[in-house]
Amino acid sequence: MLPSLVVKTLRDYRRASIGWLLGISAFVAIYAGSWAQFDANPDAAATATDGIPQGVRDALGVQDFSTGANYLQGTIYSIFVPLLLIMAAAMFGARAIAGPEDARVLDLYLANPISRRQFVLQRFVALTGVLVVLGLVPWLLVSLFNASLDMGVPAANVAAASLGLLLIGVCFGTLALAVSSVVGRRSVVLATTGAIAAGTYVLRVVGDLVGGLGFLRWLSPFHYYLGGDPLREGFDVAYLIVLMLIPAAMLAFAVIQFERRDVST
Amino acid sequence: MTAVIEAEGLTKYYGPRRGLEDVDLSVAPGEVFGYLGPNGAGKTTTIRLLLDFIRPTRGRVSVLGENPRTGVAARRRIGYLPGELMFEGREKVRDLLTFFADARGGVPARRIQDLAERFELDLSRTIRSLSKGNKQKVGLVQAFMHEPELLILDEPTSGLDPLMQQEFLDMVRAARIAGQTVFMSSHVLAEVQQAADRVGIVRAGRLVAVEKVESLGKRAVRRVEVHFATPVVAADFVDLRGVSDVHVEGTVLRCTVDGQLDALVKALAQHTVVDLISAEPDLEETFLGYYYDNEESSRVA
Repeated sequence: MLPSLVVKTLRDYRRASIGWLLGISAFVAIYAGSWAQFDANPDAAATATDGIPQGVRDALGVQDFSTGANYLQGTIYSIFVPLLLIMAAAMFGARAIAGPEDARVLDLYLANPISRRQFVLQRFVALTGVLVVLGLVPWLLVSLFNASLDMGVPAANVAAASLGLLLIGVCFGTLALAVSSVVGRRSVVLATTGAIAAGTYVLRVVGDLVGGLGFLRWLSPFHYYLGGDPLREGFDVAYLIVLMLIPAAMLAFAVIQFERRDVST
Repeated sequence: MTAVIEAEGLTKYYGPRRGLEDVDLSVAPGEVFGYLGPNGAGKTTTIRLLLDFIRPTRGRVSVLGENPRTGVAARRRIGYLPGELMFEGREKVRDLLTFFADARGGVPARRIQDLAERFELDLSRTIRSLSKGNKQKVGLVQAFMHEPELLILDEPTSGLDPLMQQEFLDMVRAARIAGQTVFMSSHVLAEVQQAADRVGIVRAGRLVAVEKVESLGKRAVRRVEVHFATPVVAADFVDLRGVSDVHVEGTVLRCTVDGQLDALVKALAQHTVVDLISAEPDLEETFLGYYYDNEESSRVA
């Protein structure tokens, strides 16, 4: 049986989870399902992204749509679905501590025999559980369309990119949890998490595009997600491990920090 | 027996702002302790220190023999009602109560049902659809349902109608008979008088007096206003036992009575009384009367 706070948290998150699930499913299905029109028309595929300035294309990791991998990368994996998943993760992460603290209901939860450490850990388990469900969507749908529309991407590569995507979500969900272990204000948590997500995305782009600043990309979790080019190269175990260590470190920070501080009223 | 709540020099500052200063407190097992004071005096700060929501700046506190910081398991034996009771989300009352029950190692469903019936609380409604009074009932049910050894209740009757206040006071009496310890804060003297054995009076962050409730009651200071048929003179009343602050304006007498009303009532009987208004003992005045009198007597001694 799951610990009581995990059960409650999953129940609290249910409504919003279903919303995100439907949204992400619709997005992935529409884009992945549209591959047929480019597959049938190589000229259109080669020029589909010409309207986007080269700099923007580089920044977003978008190439032409001449291969299935290029297409999936450009439409789904490079920016839009990570953005959706990070938004969902940040909102669920902010609801872990800052939400009830803002709503002045945290006292009522902490009056139970649940330690601060347990509180953070159980919230993390529930948060990760929801993100795993959301992260399964791109994997399942892309695998489905990849097979049925002959996109030609090895199944393992889809799995690798989808796992990285999930871990990016967990990274930023745990970041939101870590921020709310310091400041119990939902708005602050969302703003900080959003700023760090945008900042580290830019860091990777700058690191990739600007000569001499290549080292910057190592500071960005996005590098460990797409830097190994999973749709073409498959699993990069070292990178995926880094993507697991980042949330682990932030979780440890969140536990220590939340154990230390006063809960505000 | 060891104290259920024991504080020594308990002090809390919020940055430079004082929340509580040098509070020494001891609550014995089975005792109902009323923690009385005006809003902002430090009642909620004390309670939040007892439950480790906030950490003391100085001093020491133990609850059920444990440091609140480390004694997480002891919270199974505590029932807590927040002063400003809030809820979030769309969950049903039953779901929230089930969470509290599970978190505390299980409570029979029958027990939750009984308490809900007692308070006429509909468990199948969502909490957000409840009125303030009904939300307060949810708070009371979750505090009492696991039959904790110690109940920590912050302004428990706020938002309850008089009938439910009575129901609540019955529950406190039952808890006392069952040997449970109750620490309840209030700014309403009457409610504390009905339920408590001892009262601690907190003012501007300091615990200024701890008294048995009977001694406070006897000293209750009332404001009395009497309307007569014909004009009266102040001289008829100034020398009466317990009567002070005598003001007469034509046919109206206003005064303060400390303790028994007997002397005043007998004096009033000499005149034709049209109306008599006796306000509830004023909390602040009772406190202060007690506080300053004690200070004076200790100075004399």
